[in-house]
Amino acid sequence: MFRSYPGRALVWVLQIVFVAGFLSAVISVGGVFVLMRDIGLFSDNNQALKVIQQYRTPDNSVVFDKNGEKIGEFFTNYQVYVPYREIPADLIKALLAIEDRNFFYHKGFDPKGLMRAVVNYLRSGHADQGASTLTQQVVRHFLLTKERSMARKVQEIILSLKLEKTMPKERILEIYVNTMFLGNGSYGVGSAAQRYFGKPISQLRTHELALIAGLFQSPSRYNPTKFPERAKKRQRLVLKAMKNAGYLTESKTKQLLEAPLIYTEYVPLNTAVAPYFLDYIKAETEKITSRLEISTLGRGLRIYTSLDTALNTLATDTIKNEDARLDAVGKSMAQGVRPDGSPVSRIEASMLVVDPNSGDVLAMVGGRDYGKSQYNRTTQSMRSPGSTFKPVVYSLALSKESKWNDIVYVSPIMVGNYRPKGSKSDFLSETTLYRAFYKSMNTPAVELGEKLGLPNVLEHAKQLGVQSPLKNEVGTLLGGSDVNMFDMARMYSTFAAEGNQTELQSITRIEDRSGRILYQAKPLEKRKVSIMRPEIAYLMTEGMRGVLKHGTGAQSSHLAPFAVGKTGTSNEAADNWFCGYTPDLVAVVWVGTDDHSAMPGDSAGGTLALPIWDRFMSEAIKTRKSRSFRRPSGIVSAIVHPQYGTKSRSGVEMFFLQGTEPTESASSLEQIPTEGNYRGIFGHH
Amino acid sequence: MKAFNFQKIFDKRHHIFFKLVLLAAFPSCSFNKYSETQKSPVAKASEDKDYDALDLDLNSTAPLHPTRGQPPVKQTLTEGSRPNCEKMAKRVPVGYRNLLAHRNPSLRIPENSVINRIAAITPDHCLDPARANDTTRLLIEAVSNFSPKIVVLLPLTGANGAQGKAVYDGIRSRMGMTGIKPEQVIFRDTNSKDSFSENWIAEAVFLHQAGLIIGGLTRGEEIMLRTYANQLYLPTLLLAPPLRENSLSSPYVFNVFPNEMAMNEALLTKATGRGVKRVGVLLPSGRNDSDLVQSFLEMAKQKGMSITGPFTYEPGTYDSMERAASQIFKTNRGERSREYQEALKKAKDKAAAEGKPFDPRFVILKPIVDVDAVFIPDNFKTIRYFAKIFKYLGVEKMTMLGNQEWRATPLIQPYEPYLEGSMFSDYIGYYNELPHTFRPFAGDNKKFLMGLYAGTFDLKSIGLQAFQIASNAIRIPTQKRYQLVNTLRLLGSGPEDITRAPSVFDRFNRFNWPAYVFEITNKDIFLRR
Repeated sequence: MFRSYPGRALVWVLQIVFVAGFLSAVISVGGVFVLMRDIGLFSDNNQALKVIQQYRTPDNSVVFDKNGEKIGEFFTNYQVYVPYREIPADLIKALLAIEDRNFFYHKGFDPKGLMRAVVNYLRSGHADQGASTLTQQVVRHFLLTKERSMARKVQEIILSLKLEKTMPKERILEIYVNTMFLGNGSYGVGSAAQRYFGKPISQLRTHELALIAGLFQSPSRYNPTKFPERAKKRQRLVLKAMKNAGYLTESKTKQLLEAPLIYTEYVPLNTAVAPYFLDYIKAETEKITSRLEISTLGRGLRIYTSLDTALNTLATDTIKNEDARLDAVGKSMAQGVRPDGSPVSRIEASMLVVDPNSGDVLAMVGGRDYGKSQYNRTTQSMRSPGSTFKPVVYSLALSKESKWNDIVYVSPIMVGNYRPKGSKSDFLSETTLYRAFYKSMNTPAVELGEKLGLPNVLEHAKQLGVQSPLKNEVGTLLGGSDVNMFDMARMYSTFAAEGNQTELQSITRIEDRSGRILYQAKPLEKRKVSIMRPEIAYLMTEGMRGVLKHGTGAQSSHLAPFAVGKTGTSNEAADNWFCGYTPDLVAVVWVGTDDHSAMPGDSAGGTLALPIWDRFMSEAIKTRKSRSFRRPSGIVSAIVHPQYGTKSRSGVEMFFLQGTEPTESASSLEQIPTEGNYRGIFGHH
Repeated sequence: MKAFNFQKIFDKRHHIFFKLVLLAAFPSCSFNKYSETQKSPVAKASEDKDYDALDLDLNSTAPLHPTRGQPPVKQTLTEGSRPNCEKMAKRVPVGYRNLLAHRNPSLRIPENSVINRIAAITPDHCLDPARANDTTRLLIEAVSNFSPKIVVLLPLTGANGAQGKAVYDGIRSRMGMTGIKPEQVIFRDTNSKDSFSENWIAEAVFLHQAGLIIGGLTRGEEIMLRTYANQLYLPTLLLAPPLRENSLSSPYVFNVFPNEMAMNEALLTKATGRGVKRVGVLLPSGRNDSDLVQSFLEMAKQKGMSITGPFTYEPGTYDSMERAASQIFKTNRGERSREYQEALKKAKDKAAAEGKPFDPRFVILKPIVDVDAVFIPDNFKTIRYFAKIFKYLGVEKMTMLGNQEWRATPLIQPYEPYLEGSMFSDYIGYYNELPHTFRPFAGDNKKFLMGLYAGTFDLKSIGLQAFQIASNAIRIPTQKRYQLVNTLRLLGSGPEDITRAPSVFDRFNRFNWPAYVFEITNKDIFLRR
């Protein structure tokens, strides 16, 4: 029981107040302690800051063509690194004016700036000045979440203060301008300049830089392509802030406010110039970098390639210009439906252009429209080459005992159980090898191949650059084994380069962004090997000239003085090829469908692929130094009857190894069509 | 000038060189063993037994235009006899009238010419005893008088101009060597037309009184010359194949031409020697009834061979040639449809099992090979194609038999192994074994001649041989034109004749043209002797 006395209640009250106050103090101290712990006041922030300190501004890997022109970039985030020294002064001014006017004076946190921003906001209702310093934004971007809380704010301030102690202002600014998302998939001012104005940041004018600076606050809200009015309004705000900050005069500001903002529609470079080539280069680069144990993305690699952009554009446009014709053919294909009811694939076309002497891949068009199909038919597609394979057989034959004027009796043949298709109109027509070649007759090629021995032909094909595995079947002699366009480019390059084969290359050099060479292609002399005698290569060149002059490519005879080539058509015209060359340029063209659909009846390499090759080559040779095929010594020509192989004034020009040219000027064969018989003396009666 | 008989100096020595030199120097000289006063046996026989060749059967009803295979006609030409008068009156005036009608108007015959009188004769004249003798004498005179001239009728222009030209070249190449004066040889171009031929025959008879006619290179000319030779008792060297039957179409017609029957005989003999007993026959269209084919079939049967075919084909038409070959080897789907359907199904199933596309072109019936050889009388080019077609049909090996049309370099170049062991007949052996005057200039290749030359060489040889015979005959002194027939029949062969037979002609007036057989072996052709 408690005794009662006067003031006892007061004592009790005081005691309670004291205890409560004590407890409150303890709790408060504990709370502050917890708060300070939470914001990392007691933790080692240095470790976290290392992320920023050691941050290496990512950079796209850039691909250049053979002239050093940029043709594409590889990236995860689209970033165009701009070193501090290259950041335009007006951009810095604009940024400071709108985001952090005291950037170069505060220690990472700017109470005055904060107050000014609050006052400005209360006064104008517009956040025309940033409340956070640039340093705070960097810290927030790298280390913190987007949570809006006092603790996070305190933490941000503490880390900013710490960061400023360890990193120069310029570097913080450099990181800031290069890493912030600025809309349209761009990160940093360099990429934003490209995306919105289609030019490097160094070429932007002040009013354009002001727009870029305005994006930092809310790139989505002020996206100029989506919301041009908002973007303009924001730009005006930035310019006014610059004026208020004393960076611009009144008149200059007025002038800049009126300057029009002209945006370029964003066309991704990667799909604009040589999309198929870039895909190929990316894959090739990854092969190289994996060997070097470095990554391709974000490394800012400088990839120098062999691409001739002008030729690639020409090739792309040439195929594009065939759209109507190819679509018309497509429409005629069984109403676009296959026998099983499924729709026929769209007719596709692809072209690969290489320099036979350097091995450079100059142009690569993997399909008619990259937007519709990214499937690269020059590298990924394995197709039957048809008669474009025949030069393998003929070149081997000519390197043995055969001559262009050797006679073949064209008739159906059976090899084992194989009966190659032949044109009935050719049957019972004796012909020279030359004529059989330029008319692309099948049975003579099979006979020749049989005579040479299939294994020898396959080995020869390998030597000529056909790296795809070939079937050990007679059908291979007529191009029945699938190859890719690189195989054909290597083969035809060997003929074009006088029997020398140069390893094809598309990447000539890879540097890191500091200019250090990471990869260098082998020098030419180490990539070049002699495959056949120049005389034999020349004989083949002249054989292929015959294709254009008299044969399946005669519709392009106007090119025969400068270029040569061979048509090819696989079964049911599913594949239509033309492979041809000048002394400096090899162009391989393929036309077909991805599902191997049969083409309409009159389709062939000569009707589908050759027109593309023709238009391309006709333009390409205009831009290149004219050069004729060099005739090696020991090669002679003669005017020879194309069917009977004898010298004939009305014949065609054929080429021979010296000493093997025909000497006879009459053939018994000639008499039969002329006289109707041969030694048929009893026939008069 | 009396001809000096050099033969006395070179008695029994047939030294060709001296002959040529002396003939060039003294064209009128003679190499006969006998001088004009000392008649040669041939000349003597011609005079003494000058009716042997004209021993014609008066009872025969021989048509005026004899055709091949006609039985020989016997007739005795005796001056003053009535039967002879009638027989001659039925033939000679008809020939004269025809020639008069078809002569060129510029060839004028005087109204009082004996020719007009002969043309007017009818068999009735022989019935009148008063006129019979005169009539007979007149007729005999008409077929007796001649000048030692040779008229050569050739199609030098027109459709057969090339052939005629080749023959002409052959004759020209021989002319300077025979002792025949240029004016003794008269060339006339028939322009490959029968009407021209008839005109020139008229000229030869009326104007030149030719002793011998050479011609008949085309079918029309051949028939015409046979007719006139028979009607006018006009000795004629016919540049045409002999008749298939062993018969004499007219005693005045002599064939100077290769002999297909002899070639067949030679070929079949060699084939039999190789064990060939079953022969398939493939014929180019239009050759079914040719002498070559018919004689081949007959001779093959005579030798006990079985024949499959003949099957004809259209040369230069692949489907036709394959069809003909299929008939021999019975690969025709229609004839073996059941077997084909089974093979088709099997192939389909196999393709399905292997997941490969089925292609009916790869389904073929195995050939039934029941012949030992196939005879194809066509050119080397067709033969090469048939070799390919046979292979295509699955016939792994087949001996092929043929004729001279095979003989060309492209037969073996490029080499076609399938033809190894195949054989063909020819009327010319190795070129370098021909008499010197015949040998081609390009004598470096004894087996083949270049290009177009091979065909013309054959015709040139025919012309050369014919003229050699004509010049030899005409140079033998003879009293009467019809007596030249006996001269020709008894003519012996010399080193400059193609034939190796003792006499130039056989008993059916056919030149004894030899036959050869070549075999393809070791990538070349070789003569099988």
